[in-house]
Amino acid sequence: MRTVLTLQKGNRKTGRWEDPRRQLSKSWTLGIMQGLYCLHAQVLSAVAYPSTKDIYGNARPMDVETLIAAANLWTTNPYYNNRWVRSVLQASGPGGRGRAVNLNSDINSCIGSHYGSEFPGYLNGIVIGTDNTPAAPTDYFMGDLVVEGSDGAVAPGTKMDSLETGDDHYVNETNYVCSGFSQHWHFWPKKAMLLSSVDLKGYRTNAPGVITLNIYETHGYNDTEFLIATATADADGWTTDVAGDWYNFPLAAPVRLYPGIAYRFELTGTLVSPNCAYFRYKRYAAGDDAQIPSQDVISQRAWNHWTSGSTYYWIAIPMYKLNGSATPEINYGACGIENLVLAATSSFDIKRLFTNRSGEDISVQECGIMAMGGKKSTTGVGAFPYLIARDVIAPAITLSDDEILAVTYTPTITV
Amino acid sequence: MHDLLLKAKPNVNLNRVVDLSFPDEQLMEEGELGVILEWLITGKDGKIIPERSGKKKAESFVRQFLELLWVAMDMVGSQWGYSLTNTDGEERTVTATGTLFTTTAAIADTTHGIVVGTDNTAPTINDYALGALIAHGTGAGQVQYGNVGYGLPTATVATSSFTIVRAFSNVSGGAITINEIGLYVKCLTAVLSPTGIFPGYSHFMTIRDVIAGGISLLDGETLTINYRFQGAI
Repeated sequence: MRTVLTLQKGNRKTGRWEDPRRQLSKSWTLGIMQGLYCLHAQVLSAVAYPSTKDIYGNARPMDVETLIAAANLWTTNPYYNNRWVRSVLQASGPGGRGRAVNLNSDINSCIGSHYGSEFPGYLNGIVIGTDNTPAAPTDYFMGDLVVEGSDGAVAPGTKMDSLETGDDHYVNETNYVCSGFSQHWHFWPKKAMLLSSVDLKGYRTNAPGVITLNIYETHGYNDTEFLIATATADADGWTTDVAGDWYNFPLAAPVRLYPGIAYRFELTGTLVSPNCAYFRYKRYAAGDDAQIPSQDVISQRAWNHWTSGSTYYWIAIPMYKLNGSATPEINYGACGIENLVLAATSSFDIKRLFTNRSGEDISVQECGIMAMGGKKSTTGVGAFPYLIARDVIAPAITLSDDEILAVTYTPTITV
Repeated sequence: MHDLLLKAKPNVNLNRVVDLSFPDEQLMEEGELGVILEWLITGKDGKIIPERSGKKKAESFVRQFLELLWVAMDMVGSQWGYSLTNTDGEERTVTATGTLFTTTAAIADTTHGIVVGTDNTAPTINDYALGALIAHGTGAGQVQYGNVGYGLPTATVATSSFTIVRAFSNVSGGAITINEIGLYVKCLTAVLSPTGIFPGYSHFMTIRDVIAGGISLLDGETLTINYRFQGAI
């Protein structure tokens, strides 16, 4: 099977398209072998294939097993009740901020990011980037992905996101780091960023020492998570005023955060009471509408929380500032799997349009295909994107503001 | 046997190169995703017969491979499905929402996995089954099908691959010439009946290769076949 890669530039205002550039795609990666292997070998969850890598290079188990509710066996009627869906090579991601869903359900019909069965649509299908490092079979992501969006570059050291007001919670015993207690909260970035440091609003009692901030990538509840960044701050010099003050946690190495991916922030340390570090939170409105199911607390991966009865917990968000930088974004159209031709030479197209509305030039030097992988968990399906092809585009294609790039992969077979 | 094929490194002292143990050997061209077909004959004494073993670049993905890949990549749903021709020549509707591409056949199962036949008609892209499938058994003209095994995905600096493997034993009492080798996959399909739509399994051929001159398998010998999917950068 050979694959033709077609690149065509156009302008959304003039409606004009340049002549397409065609080249042979060179770079099916290990990822497509892993997907095909899982399908051919009918890999089940009990012996899931362990080595598919996600966008951070972390190994994620993949299988083709689906959840089947005993009360609604598909053998009884598959077109109602449960879908036995398992996406393994899906590349037909939605455009914009749509979500790619590994649609599956168990007896509770659990679908959604809460159960890790979806991820951003721009990470499913064709993707583009600005890195020109030669492709290798073991590539697991673009060298430098151009992320979905319409914003231009942001200089290093810029405050990318924050919550700076409203820390009106009642200080109690659960907002501290010491004596085995740590603080956790989930964060879904609204915008892609290269995160370099985090500011948090805190105070201390006595001499708490060093506080560690760990950032994990996760794809939702009950899914494996991986540490991707660490920062520390010495809290001994912090204020003892309970109103708190801002303190900086510089990351040991900057890390990219992508919109639509869930990250867990964890504050921890080896502190022992009464040497504690406290953090200021905004507690959201009291009442059941601001509560979350208790199982999130069990997983220790929810917004920070205060006990309220035995079943529900309050949602609270810490005061934070995320500092970093960003590169120009591009709008992702839906990725179409189309134009199936069955003839002596048979083929189909994998096609996506990219529109530059960032106001800046983008030098496109790589493109690839991200498929959807997943694994069965006890309560839902963990879904994640993984790379199955990557090509370097040489010479680079400069895409100015208002310009469109159509990228088409055409797998072709002949006997 | 499967491990043997995946790991064995037979001594090669004849003019035919037989190095069935190297999954990193690159036969695909740059950018190509294809399949390497390897066959290994083991004699009655359990020793590999290199001069009758061989390897070639499989050249015959047939249309069902592309159709099923399209179904998988497009996540074709159960609401509409996609119809293609199964190994019985019947149209069957598959979706990406169920079993797809499965080759996990057990011993004696000739419905999916690697299969062998005697027909030597040149492959075409529209082939949907072997020309003349060899049945499982110990009778004249039959071979015993082993279960299907796998080599895990692996990568080198230039290639990535995984392997499907199956052994066939001839205890028929006579020689059998195998002229064609194929890969059948099992998929969940929707079956129309008077009372509604119900799921069932159907089988589709994704690869068919014809071996020039055939592979002669004598009584008491075992043929082991690797289909090694390989992508090259």
